[in-house]
Amino acid sequence: MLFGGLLTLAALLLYLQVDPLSVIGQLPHLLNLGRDMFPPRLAILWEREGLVNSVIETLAMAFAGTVLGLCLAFPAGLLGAANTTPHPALRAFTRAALSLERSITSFFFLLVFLIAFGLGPFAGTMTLAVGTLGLFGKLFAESIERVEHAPVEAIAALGATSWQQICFGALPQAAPALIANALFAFDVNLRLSISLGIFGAGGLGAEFLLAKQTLRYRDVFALALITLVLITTVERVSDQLRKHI
Amino acid sequence: MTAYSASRRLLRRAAIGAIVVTLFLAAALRCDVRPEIFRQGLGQGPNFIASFFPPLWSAAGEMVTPVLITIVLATSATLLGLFLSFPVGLAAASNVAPAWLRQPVRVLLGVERAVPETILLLFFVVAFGLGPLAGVFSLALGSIGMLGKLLGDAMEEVDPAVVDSVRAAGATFWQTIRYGLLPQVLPALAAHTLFRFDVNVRNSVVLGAIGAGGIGEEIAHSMGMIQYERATIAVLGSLLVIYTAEAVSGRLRRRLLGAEA
Repeated sequence: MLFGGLLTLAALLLYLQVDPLSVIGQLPHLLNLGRDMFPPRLAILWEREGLVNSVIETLAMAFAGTVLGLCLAFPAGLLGAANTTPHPALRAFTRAALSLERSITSFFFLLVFLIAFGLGPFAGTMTLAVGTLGLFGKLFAESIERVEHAPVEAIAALGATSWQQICFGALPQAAPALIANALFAFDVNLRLSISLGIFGAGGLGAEFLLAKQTLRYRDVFALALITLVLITTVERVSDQLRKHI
Repeated sequence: MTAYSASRRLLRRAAIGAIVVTLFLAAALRCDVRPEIFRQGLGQGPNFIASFFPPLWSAAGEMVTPVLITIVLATSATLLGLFLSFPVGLAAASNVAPAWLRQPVRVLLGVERAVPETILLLFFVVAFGLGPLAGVFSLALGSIGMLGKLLGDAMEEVDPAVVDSVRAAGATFWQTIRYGLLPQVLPALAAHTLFRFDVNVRNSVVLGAIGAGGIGEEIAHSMGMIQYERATIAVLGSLLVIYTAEAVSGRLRRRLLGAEA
């Protein structure tokens, strides 16, 4: 099985016109790059004007995109959950639309928004909002479907309207899952906002691209370290918040 | 619940809400989220959307090779990542590897998971030039970050009695791993690999646009050349890739892991 897998891998690489053996010959390039990148020039943090601004821009993009996206994902979740949707056909439609949206690659949305709204973080924010809607609309719908029926029925028996059943029966049960999802959304969007920067949304991704194109590899390494610290810190903080809630 | 704690809870909620709203407004301001830009963009919306239709069906033939490249790229990266994550997973498992090896490996895996694949690609493009090879390496490295950790975790959770009995029968170190450890982690490994395959397929579209080639490059290229009808076809191509991959991995999942998975 191992042998078959290796053979398949070699065949696939040959299709990509990658000679598996020539890769070994190219390894010195990688070592050279490593030498060019070392030591990381962390001084860009204070020497390069606007870098701190780029970090803030990335964080702001991720946060604004997350909040906007979650505001959209919440009604989508209600429409897409079997127990809160006004009509089964609407549920099926919402689910299909969300699935389509998740499958369209994020940078295509970004390119469209860049043309519509101009270069800059606004287009990035909108892209993140759309991505958040696609992924978390589905997760919200699933959390809402997982609530217990008994409390909802109890409230219905008291004569509550369907809105009241949702607000006081279903939502309080789903709330912890929704909040955990919201924190997760920010983690996902922070990574994505760095990637989108490479395509023109600004922030840290743009700094990466610029440093790479001007062959400042020690800056690239420093940026990678900054990214690492940023992402790890945000993960820690959201873990703490999740535990707290 | 006393009235006191109820009002305190309300206060706490109001405070959290106020913080979130303030942060959001600050972030939105920083990102130039202004109603007039939005209105202006939406004003052009219908015309702009119309420019993507009708799709340029005649370009469909040009999309066949890029679609194949993207699929092959994701598949080979998953395979390469799977093979390489094996030794890494062994080195990350507390019941196999000594602490001096395990701890640095775990830290490295954590570092690797924190760096987005797009950034990895920028590095590999410098080393190997533009093309699918750089894409294969970044996705494979991303796969090792995830699979290595999960495999290490799965190995730590195996039933030690089975491993001990194989060792007691006189097996060498590698035989113990092959016959005692490996069979127990295979189902988890299969599940994680299939999940990672789905992730890699989606990522390979994105990486294509920044130098790895394939259907992502066609989308970015068409958009850059203002050939929106062609971009529509390229996006349809990427949807074909993603839905096909999901169908295949779904079938494999049911075959390998049974109906419950």
